[in-house]
Amino acid sequence: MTLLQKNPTMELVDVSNSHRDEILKKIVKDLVMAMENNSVTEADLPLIANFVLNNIDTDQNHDQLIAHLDELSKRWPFFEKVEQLERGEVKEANEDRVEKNVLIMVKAGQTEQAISLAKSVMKV
Amino acid sequence: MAGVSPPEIGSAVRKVALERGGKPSEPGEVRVASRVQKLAEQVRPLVDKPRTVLENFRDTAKTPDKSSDRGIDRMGTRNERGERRTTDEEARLKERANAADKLNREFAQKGYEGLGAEQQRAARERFKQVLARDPEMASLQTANSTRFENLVVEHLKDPKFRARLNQRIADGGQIDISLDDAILEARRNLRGKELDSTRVDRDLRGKRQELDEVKSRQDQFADRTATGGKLGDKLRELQQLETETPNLEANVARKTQQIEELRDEIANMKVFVGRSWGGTTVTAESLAQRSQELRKAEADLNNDKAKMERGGQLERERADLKTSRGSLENEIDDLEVQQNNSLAEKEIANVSLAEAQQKWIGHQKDFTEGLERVIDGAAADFIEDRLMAAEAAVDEAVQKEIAEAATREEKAIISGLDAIYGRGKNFQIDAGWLRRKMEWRVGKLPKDLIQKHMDKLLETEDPAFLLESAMSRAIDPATGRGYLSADEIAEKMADPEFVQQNAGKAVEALIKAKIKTGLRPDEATVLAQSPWGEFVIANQMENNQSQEIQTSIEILKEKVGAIDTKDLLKKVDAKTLLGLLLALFGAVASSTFKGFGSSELSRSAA
Repeated sequence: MTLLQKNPTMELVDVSNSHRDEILKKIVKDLVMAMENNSVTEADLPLIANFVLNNIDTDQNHDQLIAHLDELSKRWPFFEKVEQLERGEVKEANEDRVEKNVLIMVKAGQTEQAISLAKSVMKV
Repeated sequence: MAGVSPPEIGSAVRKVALERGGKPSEPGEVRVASRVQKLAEQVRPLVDKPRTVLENFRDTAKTPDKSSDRGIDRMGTRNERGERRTTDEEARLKERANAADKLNREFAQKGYEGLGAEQQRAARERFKQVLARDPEMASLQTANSTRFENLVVEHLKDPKFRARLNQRIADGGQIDISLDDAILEARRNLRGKELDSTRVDRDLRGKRQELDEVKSRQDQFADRTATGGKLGDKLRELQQLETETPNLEANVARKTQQIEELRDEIANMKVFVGRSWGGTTVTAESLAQRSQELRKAEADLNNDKAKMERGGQLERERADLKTSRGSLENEIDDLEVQQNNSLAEKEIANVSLAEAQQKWIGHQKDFTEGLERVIDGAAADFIEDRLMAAEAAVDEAVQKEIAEAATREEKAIISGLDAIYGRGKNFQIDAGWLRRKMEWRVGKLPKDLIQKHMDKLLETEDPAFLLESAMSRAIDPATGRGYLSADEIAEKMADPEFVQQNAGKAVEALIKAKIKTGLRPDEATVLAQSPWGEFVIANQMENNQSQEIQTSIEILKEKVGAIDTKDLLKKVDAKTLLGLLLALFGAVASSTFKGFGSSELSRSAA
């Protein structure tokens, strides 16, 4: 379960176009590597391309993106690395944001809420 | 690889896709690495333009029919001018291939709902016959054909089926044009043999004609007097000459002498013209007279010599004719052997041509059937995917149940029943391109044992043996030994309360296993009427968590006027009962394909 799912009140992080392109590059790099290792068949290539192109532009936030990457790596396990990287980046970004929010709450004297928010991150 | 433009990648991708055809993929066959790797090499410099790469890959799927198109174009047989013509059989095959290819292509492009009514029907028929290879699904088809048909349509509409179809199309085989080339080669060979045969026939005719002429000439030397006939003209002439030969020889000698003397005399007379020589005066007249005598003698000598020469000629001619006849007869013998050989070779070439044509037509048939089986293969892949996924879920559930079981005997029963009856269905599809046969094996299920247990249960009405064999079979993976010792099992089996409490689980496992191997309506009735069958089925009906099933049961009760579940089992018709059992106990398949809807059940009951 992702941090965002644990904290439904937190805003979902939108996927920027540059991030989308980065993900595409990683996918194609892993795909080419799989082709070089003969871990993928020619028949899979259009299926993978279709899946990626159909979903990548419609994914509005990182959760949707991760869900699709998850599906992708279930069907073609060599994409697991992209999925893991994406999960890690999202987690890191959220932790940064939580850290900022905790500091703001502490400064505003909302100590209990700040502790609760910090604990929620630690549970993950 | 610098300088590779996107269209070039597209072309390379398409080329790779097209080149894949031709060979049926064998089970366990290693995928051709070089082509994928070659393509990877071309694509690698473009990883910074990922969209371009992916779009090109995607475009290859938009034309998945290309290889089959090329194959269809190559159907029919070429003549020696290279023009392709179709026989009636080939025309019929080509029509089928076109229809199958059109169906595959349009299904891939538009999906099931985008197809025409006839194409939808064709796709349903193909999917149905694949689905019904699963005995449990065949039982469902028997129990409720409407539900079965609905399932088929539901699957045909599933995007995952379409993805599998695309894959099958992309994996499709190509027609083997070398078989058509072999016909041309066989035809050329036959033509060569026909020419050889014609040449031999012509030579033979010529030699026979020559022999006839020789024989006819030899007739002139024939002696048919012994049979009352005549002598041949030349033989008569020869014999005449032979008779004259002594005279002729004497004449030649004499005339030769005479000519010599005349020549001498004429020479002397020329010296003494006008003078006396040998007692007489030599005059011009006497010289002319002698000269005339000489010419006459010479002419006579030549005439005699010619006669003698004619005799020799006739002898030589007779000898030559004999030699020619012998030689011609030998040549004719040789040519007759050649003619026989040539006829045999022509026949062999004819057979080879017929075989090549047969192979080609057989291959075209296989190719056509391969196109027709694309939907079958995709259906098999799709169903296999679903069943395997459900299988994994069942496996997980069984393991969880074993882990959560409170006692060793409970663990032993769950684990043992699982071990005896196996789980799921080991589907193996042998529907490769150009294969004539598709086998669908239910691998792990011990069908005979399941039937034996079912027969024994119905006969003895005592499920204790199921419990005992389950506990004996169970192995604790932690220890590698049985959960219970033989003594413990004996002790448990001697406890009627234990048996009574646990036999239901064993019967339920047996019913589930039996359903997986196929259950007929009459078998369902016998089972529901047996004490343990009735107990387990009624128990399941009362405790099933599915609201849908509970609603269906209530509707059925009303329809048949049943007071309770056991009463329902007695009153419901065999087919509906089978449908009910499939909904309640269908293990892998029903979890994969969902249960009965209330409307279907009530319709079935009506």
